[in-house]
Amino acid sequence: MSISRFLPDFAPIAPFSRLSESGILDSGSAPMSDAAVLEALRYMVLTRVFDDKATSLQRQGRFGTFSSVRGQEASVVGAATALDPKKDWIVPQYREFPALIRHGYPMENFALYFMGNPKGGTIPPDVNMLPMQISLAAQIPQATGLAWGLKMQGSDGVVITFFGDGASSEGDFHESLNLAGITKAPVIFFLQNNGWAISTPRESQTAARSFAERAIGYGVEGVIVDGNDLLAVHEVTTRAVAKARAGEGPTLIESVTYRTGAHNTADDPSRYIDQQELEKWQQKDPVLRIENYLRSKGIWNEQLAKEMHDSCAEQVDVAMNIARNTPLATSDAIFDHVYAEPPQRMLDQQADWAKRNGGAV
Amino acid sequence: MSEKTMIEAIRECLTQEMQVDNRVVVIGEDVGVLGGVFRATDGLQAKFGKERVVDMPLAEGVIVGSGIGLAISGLRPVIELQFLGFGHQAFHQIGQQVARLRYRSQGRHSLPLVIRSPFGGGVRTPELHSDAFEAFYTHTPGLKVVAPATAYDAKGLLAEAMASDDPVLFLEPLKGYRLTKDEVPDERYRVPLGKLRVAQVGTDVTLIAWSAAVNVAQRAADELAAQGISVEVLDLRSLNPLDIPGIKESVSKTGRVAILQEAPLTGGFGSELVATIQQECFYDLQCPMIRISAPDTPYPLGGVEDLYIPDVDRIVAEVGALARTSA
Amino acid sequence: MSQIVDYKLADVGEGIAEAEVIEWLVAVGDSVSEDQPVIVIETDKSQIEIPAPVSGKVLELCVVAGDVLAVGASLMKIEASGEITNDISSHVSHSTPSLSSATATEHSVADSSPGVRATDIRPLASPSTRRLAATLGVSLENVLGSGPNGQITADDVQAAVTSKVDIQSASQKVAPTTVEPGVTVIPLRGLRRQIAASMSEALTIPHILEFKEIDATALLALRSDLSKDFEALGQKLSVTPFLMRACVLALAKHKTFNARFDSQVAEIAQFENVNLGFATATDDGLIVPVIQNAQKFSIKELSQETDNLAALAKSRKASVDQLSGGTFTLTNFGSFGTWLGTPIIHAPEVAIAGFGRITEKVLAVDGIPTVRMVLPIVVAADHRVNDGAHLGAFVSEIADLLLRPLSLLENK
Repeated sequence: MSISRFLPDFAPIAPFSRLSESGILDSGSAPMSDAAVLEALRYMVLTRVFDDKATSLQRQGRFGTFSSVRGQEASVVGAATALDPKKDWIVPQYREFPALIRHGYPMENFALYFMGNPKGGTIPPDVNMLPMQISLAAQIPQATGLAWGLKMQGSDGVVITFFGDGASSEGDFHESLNLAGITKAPVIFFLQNNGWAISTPRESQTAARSFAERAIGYGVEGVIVDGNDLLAVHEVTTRAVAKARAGEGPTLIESVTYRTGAHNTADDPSRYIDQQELEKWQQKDPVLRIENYLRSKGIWNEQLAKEMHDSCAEQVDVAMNIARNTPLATSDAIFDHVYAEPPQRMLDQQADWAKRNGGAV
Repeated sequence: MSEKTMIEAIRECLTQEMQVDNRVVVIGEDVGVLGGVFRATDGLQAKFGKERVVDMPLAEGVIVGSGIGLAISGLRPVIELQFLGFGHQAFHQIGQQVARLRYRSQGRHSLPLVIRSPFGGGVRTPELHSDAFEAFYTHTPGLKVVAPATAYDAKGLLAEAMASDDPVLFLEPLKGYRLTKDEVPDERYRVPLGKLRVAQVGTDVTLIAWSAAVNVAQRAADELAAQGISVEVLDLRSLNPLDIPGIKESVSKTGRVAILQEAPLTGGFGSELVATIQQECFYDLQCPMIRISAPDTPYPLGGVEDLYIPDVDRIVAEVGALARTSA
Repeated sequence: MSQIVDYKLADVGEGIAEAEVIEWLVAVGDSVSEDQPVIVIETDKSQIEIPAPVSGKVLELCVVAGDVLAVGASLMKIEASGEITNDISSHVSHSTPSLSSATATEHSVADSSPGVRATDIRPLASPSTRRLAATLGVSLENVLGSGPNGQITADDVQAAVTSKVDIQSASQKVAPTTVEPGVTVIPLRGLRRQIAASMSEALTIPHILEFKEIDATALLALRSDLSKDFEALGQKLSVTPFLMRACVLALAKHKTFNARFDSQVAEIAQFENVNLGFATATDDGLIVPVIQNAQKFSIKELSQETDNLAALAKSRKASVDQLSGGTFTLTNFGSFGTWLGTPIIHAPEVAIAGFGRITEKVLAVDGIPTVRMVLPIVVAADHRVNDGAHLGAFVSEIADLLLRPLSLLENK
């Protein structure tokens, strides 16, 4: 007599990819037009330029602790380019710079935020995103509720929420997958498995063979994709978006990538990362890979690369200058926007603070 | 106008508000088919459907967290935390998120949601069901906290909370659900946040309480009146925002203050009242202020509950002594 | 115009306290560009390259390899070749680097305010009782408490105002102590302290003054006549009751001077009755007993009442009622030899009449220089309540009455 039981004894599945490691497309048709790829590449290069600048500023004491996207550019941009900023929502963690910029979040606000000015958190009225989330995974239930609410009100917008392998250990992740399954919320859970949660390697994070297959436990579809393959990430996310829009519910996408930078500017990865493993992944650099793809199609060269880099550098400079020339925050930044209708006591405190610190109130 | 229990008043409010505004949805454990373990949401699902009255999985974190998402999508969720004691399971979403999302997004996102939760003892509940954890929430800037003591105030304050663009924690007295009965108008109305109610006028001592403790305070005040001590009972109704002018008016009249608190002593909301009163009314005080509260121990099992929560006898003794202290 | 940037070591790793300089990557005089690595430092987390914040020329290197730096220490000075953005403008000031382990700001040893020593035992009293004592001008150090543990109650404070206890008056004479040769320190206590407080308060009143010299010949003649009756009874009749009567009658016609002013609520309370205070010197200081309803007193009665109250005041036995509620005050500094002074209004009253020493003077009477007895009068008034014209009329009224002293004998 056999016990009815579930064992993970199906064969492990390789992550879905479209490009070879050297950037050659498989035999299928390209899921993105050349123009779309070039646009996506620009976001990746922009990210790299910004990250370098931000890191330098942090070392100078002008930026607070900052997490670069380094190594994960294709993962983020591939997913972001599957969205329609006019009706879809992004619920970020904090390692998704290009997705936020593409969605309409002003780069200078992003910079101001990391300079420690609360005004940097300002999201323009027509930009469909939540602010960056420092409390890991706390955004996931919010994304689920948002998607559920959109569905309830008859919208065909979808929600994508980004988080990492580490965050997926939090209770909020599991509770959210569960609720999304029940409600068939149009939400895409985009898990960037970059191998590390600061110094905790992926193997110490879970005994599950893959993050994607956890979805089965919640009655949700799981997908695993090569996160350094821009085209594969885009294709997979596009399909998940279409599925959600059609009312067929949520998807958990595990994007397998690697964090080639530090966890953040306060971290020293040389203390725990194996140098050889790092070099292996650096060779699978997502920017190089997609550039090789474009080169293989005859539409990329050094000159174009330099032009793109310079254009991005200029765009970053403009934003940085706006941010750096923004007047320093006054004490009002402590009080503004805490409430819709502030209690009198808080208003009295705001006035006191302004008196002592030269604020406007 | 008719006499209603607090639970009826709450239910009436939810029904009426859901009728006039389609954006209001109710989510929580057992709120739908069962109508809530205390029947606060009884009949709502039959009337408004499963989409608007949702039985949630047993996961307080995602109940509150998804409520945030619903609010951002344009709805006005009324979230039930079955017992305030289990709010700890959702506390990270409340403390880190509900209270801060407006500030974090610099006003881009409003969270017009209400978290309803019963608390308080005297009903022999299992562990954690009666804990008075309000002080954790009053120390969370960005979140408003109200605690009505009467059925009339419950209906009016809940309507006001539901209309507010700020998130509100709406605390309901477990014991008072059925025992509290008073005249409640049949039509819709609102009671403003941030204004206390003078439950009983007096001249000798100001006795401050909120939620279920107000009733106990009034019974003690009646006994003290027989001793010739005139006690003014203040029902705070709103912890954040706090009615400081209302408190000052009473204290400047009596010069003597006792604070009644079901929660443990140290760090309780009464501490905030004492600090505020000594700062605002120092020269009116004829004697030190006292807090009459539970001791600094976890809420015990039902068998010794009556020894834990301040009762009428204890209040009469302590307030009486306070009234007789030399000035 | 180029600016010099004083580039300081930032906290590069969430709570780094210090870092060691490993090596410089640039030298003095070098040109550097923004973001170019200029120095290598090592923290307990890792070795890091720090980049230049601006493009420009290296003017000075402030540290050398091997130095252990605290966050905030100056690394180098760069002469910027371009504009400096807002966020590093704070680096442009030539402030000295802050020290790492926060040197606690030295707290000055608790000052004892000069001149007033704390008493040995702090008086025990509730906040509201303290407020009451302050209002009544009672100093708690001198009050015996009847409450538990010697607590001073509100009743104790009330009693202290009217206290006849010798202990109190004795203890108010605090013996001056000699601190250093030639210096005697006398702490302000008791009545002296109360006087100081009321005088300070009175200074907030805007005083206007009107001076007049009156031919007092007729007045003195009348006094002389009436004093015979007094001497028969063994009493003395001074000029004061006449002055009082003149004020009382004049106030009946100039009610705006018989009032109390509350500046907090900006209200003037005018009174029908005149509660006439008169300044009385005592060994301990100035006290102002009050004759309630002075308009009902005849000259003789005024004289007797004045003597009575003055005696009580001098022995510190006057009651609260006898010391408060005044609506007008009279001060006779002539009695201690002063010709003329500038009296200070007794708040919250709105006016005070002062009379100086009567002396012989040469006046023109019908065009002929004649020696007459002259009485100087000065009336001070609160300008918030009365103007110069009103004051002039009031003082003229008093003067007229004194010039025709028989009018003072009329009953009201």
